[in-house]
Parts: sequence; C-alpha cells; structure tokens
Amino acid sequence: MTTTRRLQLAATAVVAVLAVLPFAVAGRISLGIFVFIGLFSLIVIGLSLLAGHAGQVSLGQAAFYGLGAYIAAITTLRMGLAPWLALPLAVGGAALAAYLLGAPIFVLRGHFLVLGTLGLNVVMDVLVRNVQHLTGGPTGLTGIPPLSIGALVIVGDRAYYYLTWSFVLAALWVGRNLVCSRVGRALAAVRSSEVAAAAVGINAAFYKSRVFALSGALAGLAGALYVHYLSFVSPSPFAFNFSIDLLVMSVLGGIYHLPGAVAGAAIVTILREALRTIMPRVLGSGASAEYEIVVFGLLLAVVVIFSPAGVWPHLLAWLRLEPGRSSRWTQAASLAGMLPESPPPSPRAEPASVLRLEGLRKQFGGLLAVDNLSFEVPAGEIYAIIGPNGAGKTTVFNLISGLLRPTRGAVYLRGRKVSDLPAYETAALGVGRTFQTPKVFADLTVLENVMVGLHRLTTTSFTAAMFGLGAREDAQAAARAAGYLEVVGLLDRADVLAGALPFGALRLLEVARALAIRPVLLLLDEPASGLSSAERTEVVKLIRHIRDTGTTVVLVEHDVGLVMETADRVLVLNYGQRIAEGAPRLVRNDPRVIAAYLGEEAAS
Amino acid sequence: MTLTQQIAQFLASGIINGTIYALLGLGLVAIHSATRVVNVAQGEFAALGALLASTLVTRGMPLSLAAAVAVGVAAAVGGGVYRTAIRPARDAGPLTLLIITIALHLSLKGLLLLVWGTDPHSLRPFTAGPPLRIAAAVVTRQSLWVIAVTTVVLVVLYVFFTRTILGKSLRACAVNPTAARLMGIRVERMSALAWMIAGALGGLAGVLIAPLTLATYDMGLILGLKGFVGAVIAGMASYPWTVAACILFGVVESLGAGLISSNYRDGIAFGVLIAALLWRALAALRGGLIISEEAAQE
Repeated sequence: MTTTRRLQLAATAVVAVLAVLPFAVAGRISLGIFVFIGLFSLIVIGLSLLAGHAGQVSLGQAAFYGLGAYIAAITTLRMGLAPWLALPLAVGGAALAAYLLGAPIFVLRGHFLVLGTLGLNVVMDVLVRNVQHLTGGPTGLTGIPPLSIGALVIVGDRAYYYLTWSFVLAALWVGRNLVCSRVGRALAAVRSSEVAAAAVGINAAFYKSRVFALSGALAGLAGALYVHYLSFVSPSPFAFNFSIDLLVMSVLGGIYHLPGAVAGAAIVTILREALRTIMPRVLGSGASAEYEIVVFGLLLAVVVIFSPAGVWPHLLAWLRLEPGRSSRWTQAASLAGMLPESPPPSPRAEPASVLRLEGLRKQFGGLLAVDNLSFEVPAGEIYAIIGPNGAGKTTVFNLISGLLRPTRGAVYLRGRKVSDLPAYETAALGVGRTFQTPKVFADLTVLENVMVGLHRLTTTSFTAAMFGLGAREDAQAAARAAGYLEVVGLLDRADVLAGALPFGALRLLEVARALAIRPVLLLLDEPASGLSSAERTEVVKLIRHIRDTGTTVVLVEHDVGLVMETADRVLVLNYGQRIAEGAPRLVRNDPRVIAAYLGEEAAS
Repeated sequence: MTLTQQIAQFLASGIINGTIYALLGLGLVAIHSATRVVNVAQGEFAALGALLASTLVTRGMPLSLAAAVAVGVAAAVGGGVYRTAIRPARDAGPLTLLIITIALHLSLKGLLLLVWGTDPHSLRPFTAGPPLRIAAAVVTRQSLWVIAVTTVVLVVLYVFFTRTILGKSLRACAVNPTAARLMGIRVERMSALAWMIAGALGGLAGVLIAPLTLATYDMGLILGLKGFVGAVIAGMASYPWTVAACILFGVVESLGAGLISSNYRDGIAFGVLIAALLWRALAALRGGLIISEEAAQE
C-alpha cells in the first residue's frame, strides 16, 4: 500500500472516530472538552499558517478570539441581530482588525508583529473591562442566544461539537489548499529568501497580511461559536495569557503541518485538565493554576530547541505515515514539450535602450560604492561589467533591481524610471536577476522554484487559492516551468528539492527561475563562478541562447575569458567609477584597465 | 490640587517611569543589535532583580550590597540564558529564536513564582525621609535615586561603547558580525556580553523600582514591553534615542493615564506601541525601502 493511500485511510479513520465520538463517550466524559479542543484547533490552524507558512508570530490571537466573541455577543444581545448574521460579522470584524494591524507592520521587515499583537491584546483587554455599557465590564454578558437558522436552533454539547469540528475540517481543507497553491509557493519562497522572492516579483507584505487576516478570521469564528455555545462571555478567557497558550499549542503540534495544530490543541487542553487535577495534590497550594506556566514554559522551550517542527512529524513517523516528497507535478512536467512556448516580448522592435543609468551614486555611510555612473544598454546586447573586487559591481545590480535605493541618480528600464520602485515591482516590469551566492527556495522542488518565477504571470488570487481553484492554472504553470528547466538542462531533476542540488545546478536553476518572469533584462551576477569547465561551456551557450531569444543580458563576471567570449560591450569599474567602456578587445588593452587589475607598473 | 500641579506631578512620575523603561529598552537594544533577537523575557530580569534585592535586604544584607548582588545575578542569568537557550539555536532562524524568548519569559516567570510565590515583596527606599518638592511636583527620594543611578549608568555605557575596545567590538558585531569575526572579534563572546549587559540593566531597573511599587513575580512582562515601546520608536538601534523615546513615552503614558483614567494606563501604553509601529511602517514606506540594505547584503 502506498503512503498516500495509507494517509487517506488514516484521515478517513480520524473523521470516522470524530463522527462517533459523542456516542462513544456519552455519559462518561463531558463532550464540552472536545468542543473546546475544536474551538482552539480553529485558532491554532490560523496561527500555524501564520507562523509556519508566513513566518510570523502573533501573541494576540486571543484578542481576535475575544473580538469575535464580543462582536457576536453585542450584536445579538444589544442590537437584536440574528445569530446567523452575527457570525459572519464576527469573522469579518476579526479579519479586518488583523488586516489593519498586519498590513502596515509587515512592511517592516523583522518580527514586530509579535509586539503589535501583544499590544493589541492588552488594549483589547483594557477596553473590554472598561467600556462597561457595551461589554458588561469584568462580569461580562449573559443570556446570549444560541445559533439558529430559521426554526433550527443549535443548542447543546453535541450540536456544537459537530458544528465546531465541521469548521475545523473545513479550515484544514482551506489551509491545505492555500499551502499547495500559487500563494503557498510564494509564501514558501518568502520564507526561504525574501530578497530572491522580491526578485521574481513577490510582495511579501501583501501575502503575509492576508494570511494574518485569515488567522484573525478563524479566531473570530471560534470566538463567535464560543459565545453561542456557552451563552455567556467575560473578559478573562481572551487575556494575553491565552495567546501564549495558543502559541504553545501551535509550536507543540508543529507549525509546519496543519493537522499538527489539532494535535497541539488537544495535547495542551488535555494536559491542562490533568495538571489541574495533579498540581494541587503535589504542591498543595491554592494558586496551583499559576504553576501551569512553569510547565508550559519549559515544554515550549524544550520543544522549540529540540524539535522545532513539533510533535506532528514524530507522530507521522511513529505511525509510518511520513509522506514522500510530493511529485504531483511530474505529470505536468511531462507535458513540457507539448506546450508551445509563447514567444517572449521582443524588445528588438523598440529602438530605445533597454537599460539606462543616469548619474547613479550609492553611498554606504562613508563608503562611496558607486560614483556618478552612467551607461546605456541597447536591446539585444550582452553587456558585461567587470572590475576588481569591491569595485561596486553587485551594488550596481542591487540598484538596478530595486534592492537598494540610489543616493542620487536614476535607473530607467525602457525609458521608465524604476529606481524609486520596490524590488518586486521592478521584477514585475521585466528585470530578472541571479545572485552571486545562489538564493534558491530550498524547501521547494526544482520545478516549483521555477513556478514561483511565474508568479506575476499567473493570477490565482488568495481567496481562489483558499478554495482550491487554481489547479488548472497550476498545471499550466508547471508545464511552462518545465519548459524553462529544459532550456537550462535541469528537467530530469524537476522533482528534487532545490536545497539538494549541487552548486552548478543551483546557478542554472536561478537562471531558469529568472527566465520564467519573462525578463526584458536579465542580470547575471557571476554566472560562471564556482562552475566546472564543462558547466562553464554550457553557461556560455545558455547566455547566447537567452540573448538570441530576445532578452538583453547584463552580466557581472570575474572570468575575463568568458566575458571576452560572450560580451558585445564591456564596462570596467574601479572604486565605483567607470574607467573604461567598449568592445572587449579594446577594453582589454586599455592601460587604465591593466593598471586597475595589475597595478600601475604593469600598465606602463 | 490645581491642574498645573497635577500636570507637574504627572510629568514627574512620567519621567521616572520613563527612566525605568529606558533601562529595559537599552537592554533590548543591546540584545537586538548583537544577536538580532527580540527578547520577550527582558522584563523578567527586572522582576528577578527586584525580588532578589528585597529578600536579601529582609534577610539582613546591607541594601547597597543586596542591590549589587541582585544586579550581578541578573547579569549572570542573562549570560546563562544566552548560553543555554539562545546560542544552541542561533542558526535556527529568527522565528525560532523569538519563540525561545517567549518560552524563556514563561519559564523564568514560572521559576520566580516557585521561589517567591504570588505575594508582593517590598524593598525599603535607598534613603529614608519625606518626599521633596521640586517646582510644582512632589517627588519621593527614591525617584531621585532612580534618575541619579540611571544617569550614572548611561555615562558608564557611553564611555564603554565609545572609549573601550570591548565596547567598540560589541558595536562592530552589531553592525556586521561577519566582518567583526574576520577582524578577530569573538562574536559569540560579544553576544554573551550583550545578554549579560541586558540582564544587568534589567536587574538594576527592578532594584530601583521595587521601593516605588512592589516586587512581584509577574511584574516583568509589562515593564519589558514598555521598554520595548521606546526601543521601537527609536528604531531598535540607537542607545541615546532609546533613552529619549522611553522617557517621552513614560510622560505620554503618565499624562494619558492621569488625565483620562488610570484604568486605561496599559491600554494607552500599548496603543502608543501600535501607533509607534504604524509610524515606523509609514516611514519605511515613504523611504520606498521595502527590502532593507542589510537584507540586500545578506
């Protein structure tokens, strides 16, 4: 039996157990704890998507849980809204709050969300306790009506058990769709290297804020279900401490696997119940609930240090259910030859230059990396930039591709000023690039890496991806990506994880990924360094092929031989300044160039 | 009390609170610049310092010695935490490190709870005597101690960072760890040093504030976070601006709580935090820099 088949069986078994559980435990255990595990699972699925896939931590999920709860409570109790109308309001309200907080914070690279959400949690708690005429203050609100649709009133443990767990399964389905989609690949790319993701046109903040809004929505949903289930609400379950509990659940279960969220929620909830029984016996003190934090703190520390992926992978291994690396695209890849490669835009038709630099200057503190540099590259040319180490070559690339802002001067692409655009916009306008140290998306396959390159040429939206509506476009993207792999000669390794490739193949993969954005201008940063001589020959052929199919190429290279073989024109930089420009032959004999490379004596 | 007197009073208490936040904020900046870690457990150093000093004084140790021991222990805990929890995971990525500091916050808070229990502990003021009148405000003698000691610490830190090889090495590591390593600076050691400095500053904040409030096992989080507000406003990089921002923040918080309602104190404080984050984001957008220079060099 294949692992996939066994996974399907295991999933079916889990659903079956969930379905019969209320009958199995009837009269022995209260079903309430399972309702709560379901509610917490909903929140933790959102948190795991955020942490595991968007790479951000929130310490304020309890606030969104509370926001959903209070929106549902206040609109039904105080405004007489029908509960089934209050539910989407609670979900939407929590999602909106998350989005409004996240969208600006994600513009700041780094981990500021954790503080923003923590702050939100405290603010929310203070407001809920003090705006008494709305929230009922510390004592809260009672008499909240149960969910009902027409004559169907949803009351009791069993009804909320089924309702909650249906939402949990739906959330897992949505999360899985998202992870396996165009959006999921973009998020994986951002996690691997935000810089390389920007270089193929991905706006990291855009997707992170949407994932965060989704996590807010799930927490809001849990909150609304909670108040209709218990018919009462008070501030304490939504305080900051619960945000920490949720994070413990998420990390313990495993942030990289969504079902781990359910496992984490179950383990922590059951463990807490157990501690509440055991702790008072061991410590014999009245404040035993406070001691839980010791256990949870140590548990979190141990898990995150020794098994950062949580218990889920261990659980799968123990059940012999480890999924092999998905090869869902292999089929699509075999279509590579069958799909007509649409011709890239033909810049040759345009008389104007593709790239123009005007008086470009970049200063890092006291260091002048690029000094008043101007040059122009016409369409269809291979233009090489050479110069001794530290001459400012890579800085020029970073300035062209938008990773750095120039101190002065401007960069124009086909006449349009691009030096004030963020890197992902520059990429979308057709500037592809590779990096001196290859930055591939290590946890995606070779094929998926190139599919990420197609990001801006595909359209599946976040919402469509949630509902699995991008499959057809994905298949086409896979076929196109396979085409680019064929060009660089990596098609036979399409399903290998990119992180497992040898160095030379990494360079080729970066080229394929950059070609996938259909660049009008391709920047190659030392394409031949670290390659064997056979690989080098291939790269020379590849560079010519790229130019012949209509893409203008600018390359930075130390291998002067390669430059002489391929380049139409050469620019020599030294200390950020142009010292020569022209045909390779002429440049090679320029005394200033020889001086820069070999010293003044050699030149004279 | 007239409104002027009230405002003078709020200003005074805001400056004193802000000074305490500054000590925590400086520790956060030290850790962040040396190890790129956002230390959620920073406030726990203060709680440890406060509780330890109060117990030692209760057991009969002279206050000055107790304060020194408390600060020393907090520094040692800072270094120890780095060695046991941060360094082993230093290659694991910022997300893991962040979660580790959250775990540290919980574990340290839990340990404080196990040792000191839930009861508040008091520490006597450094010097006895009635409060003093400064302009329109009435200020306790301990408050002046807070400001005096912090001023001395700031001068010492300034000299350390600008005049000593060790301090300059630490700054070099913050700017570019790789280059610092190539220059023969032992980056690991500098990171441990940053954590020890952060521990000491946190412990000192606790010792200074304990006579003004009371020492409890769970006093740390809010204090640390408030230090964070100032550090974020100042961009997580500059020591002097962090001090200025923390004091300004303390004043805003105190005025807000005093003039609106003290129930809203923490709400106002963290409202300011969110506003500060949004403000920094807007500034980043205006600069058009989506990918930082540091990232481009990575």
